[in-house]
Amino acid sequence: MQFSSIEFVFRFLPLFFLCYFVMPGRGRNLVLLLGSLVFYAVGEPLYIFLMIASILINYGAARLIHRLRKWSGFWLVCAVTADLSVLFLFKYFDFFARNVNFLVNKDVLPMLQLTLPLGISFYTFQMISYVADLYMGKIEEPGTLLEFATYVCMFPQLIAGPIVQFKEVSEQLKKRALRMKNFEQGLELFCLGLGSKVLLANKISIFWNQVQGIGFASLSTPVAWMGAVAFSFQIYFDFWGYSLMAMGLGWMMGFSIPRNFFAPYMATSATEFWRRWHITLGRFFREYVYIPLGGNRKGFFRTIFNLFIVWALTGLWHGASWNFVLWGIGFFVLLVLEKNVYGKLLEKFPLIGHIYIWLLIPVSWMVFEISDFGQLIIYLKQMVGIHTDQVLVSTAQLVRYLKEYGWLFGLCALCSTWLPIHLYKRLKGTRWIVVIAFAIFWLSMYEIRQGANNPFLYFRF
Amino acid sequence: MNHLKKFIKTCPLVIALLISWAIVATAENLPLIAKETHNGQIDTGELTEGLEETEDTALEDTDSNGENGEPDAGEIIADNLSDTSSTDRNEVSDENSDDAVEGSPDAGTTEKNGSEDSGMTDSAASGNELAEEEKPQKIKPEYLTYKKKQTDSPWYTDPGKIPLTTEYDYKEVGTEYFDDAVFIGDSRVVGMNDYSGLTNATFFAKTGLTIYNLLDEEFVKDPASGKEVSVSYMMQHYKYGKIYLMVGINELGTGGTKYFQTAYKEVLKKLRKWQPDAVIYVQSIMGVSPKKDQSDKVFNNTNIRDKNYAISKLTDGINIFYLNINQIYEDENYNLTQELTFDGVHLLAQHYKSWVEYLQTHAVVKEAD
Repeated sequence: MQFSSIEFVFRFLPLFFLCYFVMPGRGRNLVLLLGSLVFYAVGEPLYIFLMIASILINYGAARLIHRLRKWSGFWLVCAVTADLSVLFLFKYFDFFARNVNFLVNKDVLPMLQLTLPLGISFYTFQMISYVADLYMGKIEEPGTLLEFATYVCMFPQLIAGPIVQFKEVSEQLKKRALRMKNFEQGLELFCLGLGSKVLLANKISIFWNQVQGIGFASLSTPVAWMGAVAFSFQIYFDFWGYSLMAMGLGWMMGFSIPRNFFAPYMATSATEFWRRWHITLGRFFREYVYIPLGGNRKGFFRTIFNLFIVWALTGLWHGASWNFVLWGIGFFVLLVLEKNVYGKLLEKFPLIGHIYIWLLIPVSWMVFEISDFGQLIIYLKQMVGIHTDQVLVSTAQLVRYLKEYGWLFGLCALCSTWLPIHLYKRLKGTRWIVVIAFAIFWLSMYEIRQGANNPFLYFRF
Repeated sequence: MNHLKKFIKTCPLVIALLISWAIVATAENLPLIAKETHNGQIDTGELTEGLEETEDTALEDTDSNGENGEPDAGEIIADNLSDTSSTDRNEVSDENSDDAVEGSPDAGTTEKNGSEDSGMTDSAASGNELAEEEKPQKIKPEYLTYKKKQTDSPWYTDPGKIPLTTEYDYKEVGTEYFDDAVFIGDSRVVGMNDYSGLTNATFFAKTGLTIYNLLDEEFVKDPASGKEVSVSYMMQHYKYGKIYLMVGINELGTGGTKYFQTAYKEVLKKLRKWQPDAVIYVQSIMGVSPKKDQSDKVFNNTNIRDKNYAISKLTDGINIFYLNINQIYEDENYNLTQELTFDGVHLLAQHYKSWVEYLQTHAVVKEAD
């Protein structure tokens, strides 16, 4: 069940909040947990048991870490190993097997072809952060099983983040005030996130689909760039929208879910970009990988090595394929270069920094998106103007695209700046935000309904 | 009371959404709750009827125009006979698809075909030679048969047959052949217009075009007035030498095959009336990729074959020819080859060229008197 579906908005959400508010304070965690399990079971009726088992194992380990301080390291290793094994099995085994088979040139490992359980990458990381924090003493008390289970399953962040840390919500899990004002503001945020997903991401994704439909071999340079930029907008507004909706839903229930995006495309260096893009993921790798490895305290080469590990893993987290690793390592190279070579220059001349990022980001997203290496090379060649095959996209077609999608590109660009964030701050609490959120909500509903009732709207031949 | 006041004051958006939601819900009779996924228009009245009863549905009207040979009962029976006999024969060797492929008209030679098939094509060949003396004979497309699949759909049944390009003495031509040609069709033809490199032909193509709105939708720019006009207007005001049709994919979920066939027949009739001298090519609806085929209950190749079978019956090999475009792009299971497409439905830009090349080698050139 997606947040941006009629089912969720008109069936699940009202019913859930009705139960949630009718229930007196103490039972609300239970309502939230059951609601989240229902939410999850709709999309993943089988693997829900995997998630429940993981929760029980991690909670058991957490109690042991807390109770038996002497053995805490052992139990931590047990829990993390269990979590990562499950993740490996479902997400990476086939990738691993393929590579092993390729290396030994024989089919020694079978393909399991398991489907990836919904949200496994996110909830695994939440559970790891929980046991690790307990071990490191960042969390005093493991909380009750209900609290932990609610923290992991909480439907706003269950399937697409943000990666919330237990310590951020542990107080609220025990006791949270339900304020009308929070509910109102949460709903506003939800509407804005919905608009970002439905009105921007979904719309511009049509263009990227078209570019893929043409085939990379026949693209002209401007259309290749338009495609890369369109995908950059698509992935940003999709993910940002989802994070905003999660944040809004959290507020409505009395939780403060951390911010995940903060105008990433306005960064002036790759380093800054990653402080603004998927903030909770960067935080996870910093706190649980980079710093435990020694961070930057163990000399120049060790720092570089640590960065390499972090970025290779960041890449791999996004998907089990070499292009993700390449994408992560690409950022590693950029970060090291910025740190040691031209970072100061970018800081001094923000304009150069902006141009640098605006050229770099679309290219990096192409490495992220195109998993076939040959196709990726073709695409990058088209972007720099080396055409091996005949270019079939004519100038007339480019003009047609600009006419048809120009306004959407403009709108997306505008929404990628600081403007929406400033505007929101300015208008918060006024009647304007109500009008805007209301309009966005119904426009989105209209769009969703058109799409649901009429598959040909997005897919006409 | 105080609470309510405070609620109204602090939660205007909540209230506004609740009220508007209630209004929408009542106005639409709760359809948002009741049903939200529907497949557009479904003409339950026009379900698929077995096409077996309507074996010969070619345009009889063109015959009664007097310019062509009369349809004599004997010929129709012969048609049916040869059809069923070939079905029987092929069904035995059904699994042996190699055998079947060889029977495909790629080589396009009449003699090969005439040697292995019944009198129908023989007479067609001789009819060609003796054109001055005899009136042209109808040439029906031949079929590749395969084992029928069980289907459970209101829109189609598995015909068990793939129609092949009408056997004819096609000529190979240069692109100037298309100077007076018009291509009418859906997004596949839009793609052809955009990427095939064919620039001298006329295109009346629009994404989402169907046989039902093909003639009347006003989407063509009239070069004389610059106004948006319909295809039927253009057909009545301009003269075309060749008409290439390719529609049918958008119609797969609208009404049954019979309904589609009837509409197609009507369009052909009108085109014949307005352009009596034009050669009309009914191009097969291009198939979809295996991935799409397996994942879609409506847009799959069985449905497409059913529709293709139906429209192939409307061709006569005199003025209206059937072209099995799929043979350019199909894999060993007669699906659109996966590598040629991204979305399973449309060709990648670089592959439209071979379509034009196919048409260039399958051109009907009538001897000028």
